[in-house]
Amino acid sequence: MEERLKIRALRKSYDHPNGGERCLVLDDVSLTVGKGELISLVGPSGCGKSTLLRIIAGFETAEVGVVEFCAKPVSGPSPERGVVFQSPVLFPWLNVRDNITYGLKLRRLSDETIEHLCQRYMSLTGLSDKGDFYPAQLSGGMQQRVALARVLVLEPKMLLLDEPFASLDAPTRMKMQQLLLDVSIKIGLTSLMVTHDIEEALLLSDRVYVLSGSPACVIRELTVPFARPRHLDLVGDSDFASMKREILHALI
Amino acid sequence: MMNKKNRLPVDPLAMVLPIGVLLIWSLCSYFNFLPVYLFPSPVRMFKVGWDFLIGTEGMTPYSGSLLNHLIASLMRVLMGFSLAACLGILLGLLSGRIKRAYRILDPMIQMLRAVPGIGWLPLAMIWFGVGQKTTVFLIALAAFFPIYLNVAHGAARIPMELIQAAQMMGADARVLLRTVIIPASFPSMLVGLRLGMGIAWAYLVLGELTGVANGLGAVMMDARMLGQIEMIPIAMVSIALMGKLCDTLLVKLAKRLHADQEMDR
Repeated sequence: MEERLKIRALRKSYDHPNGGERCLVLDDVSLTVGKGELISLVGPSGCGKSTLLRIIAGFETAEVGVVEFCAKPVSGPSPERGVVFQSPVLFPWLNVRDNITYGLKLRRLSDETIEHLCQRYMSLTGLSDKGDFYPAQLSGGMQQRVALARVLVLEPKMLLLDEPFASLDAPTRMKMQQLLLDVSIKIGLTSLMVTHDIEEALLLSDRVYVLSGSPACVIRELTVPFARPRHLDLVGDSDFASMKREILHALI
Repeated sequence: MMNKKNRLPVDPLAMVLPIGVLLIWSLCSYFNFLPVYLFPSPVRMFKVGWDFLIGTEGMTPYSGSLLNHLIASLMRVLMGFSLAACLGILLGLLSGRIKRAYRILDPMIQMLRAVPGIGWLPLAMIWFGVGQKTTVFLIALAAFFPIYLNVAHGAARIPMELIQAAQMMGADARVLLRTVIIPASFPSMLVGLRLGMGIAWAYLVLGELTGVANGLGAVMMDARMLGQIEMIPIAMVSIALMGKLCDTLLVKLAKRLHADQEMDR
């Protein structure tokens, strides 16, 4: 399988906010993501998963180690690696359509191409009738759809999801999970998702990396065997339950 | 809460005091409790005010000259305000977004801010003489601080993730300024501009009191010496109305630029 992302022996520490010693957040983290894979990073809250994702996105740099994307070292944020944050982080002064086409407009594409792509991804994310709304007029789930659509429309080589559904209520979260499952298959996405929700990780991913608490390092790597297309009903499956138990035991 | 259908453009309770004052004022004048040399009667004031605007009666030396004075004052306000806005927005964005620029600019600006605007009057009169230039200088100086402070504050507290979101969609530094930093700090920029505009009219009066040939502030000072007391409140009201008009236009313009932003009155 073609390798999209390769991380080797990554190390990252921060200055302690109250002075004193530097605290280590990532210690010797290694992982790979192949083309077309959906990979989850599961770990306790505050273990450094998000930091790892931010390094891959290019917002931060690591002290030691290799971060290669498509065989080139990551040097900064790029539309090749689309990020969906935990909160939607939309531009409140732009309507849904302008939020979604923000990145496209920076590419000097023709108006027709932009309109065409915008329509396609709006319908894919179930936003077709929401183009003229402003973010503040939408529910949290809808806002997160816009956040997803604005990066999908750029056709990134990889999607980085930082607990994208954590702030949504349970039914909305499940809808969004199903949406991500469907979209991934339709457009052949490569994704790396950070989550603390074990069920979410199992339901969505091809492989799961289990990270230990601070400093974070990979303690387990599991391949999720369930066939695609998957459905939310998978949660009731007995194999699903035993895998969930396995991850739980690794974490606690 | 009042029913939407029955809502008047003005709250009736808000009218009680103004009407009461007008009534007492009229009665005092009518029964000569209020000497004419201290305060004119309402009727006389409205007549003189109307004459100030139209100029058919020739009741005062100012008959028909309102527009002249008004335009002279407005030009001074606009010149001073534009200077303050350009400088305030530029330096505000710099110090709000660039740590090093903040460290260079902000302490100096905060130090200067501690001097009350009026305190600059003597120096300004030495530098620029009495009149136009001094007035514009004082307006620009006084209006600069609220604009700078609000722009810098607004630009500094743009959430980091908003910037990162734009970067990850392909925005470079210049695009970032145009598409994120300016729109995101726009609401506080508007607050600063509105405060600055209010202060501009206040300092206009200060500048014009020092003795210029025309302008609403000059009318006030002149009228005192000529014993045309009714002209003073008329000029005051004219300034109040102009200040309100400028503020309304500023908000209208801002809404045009950013139709979607929630803005209070």
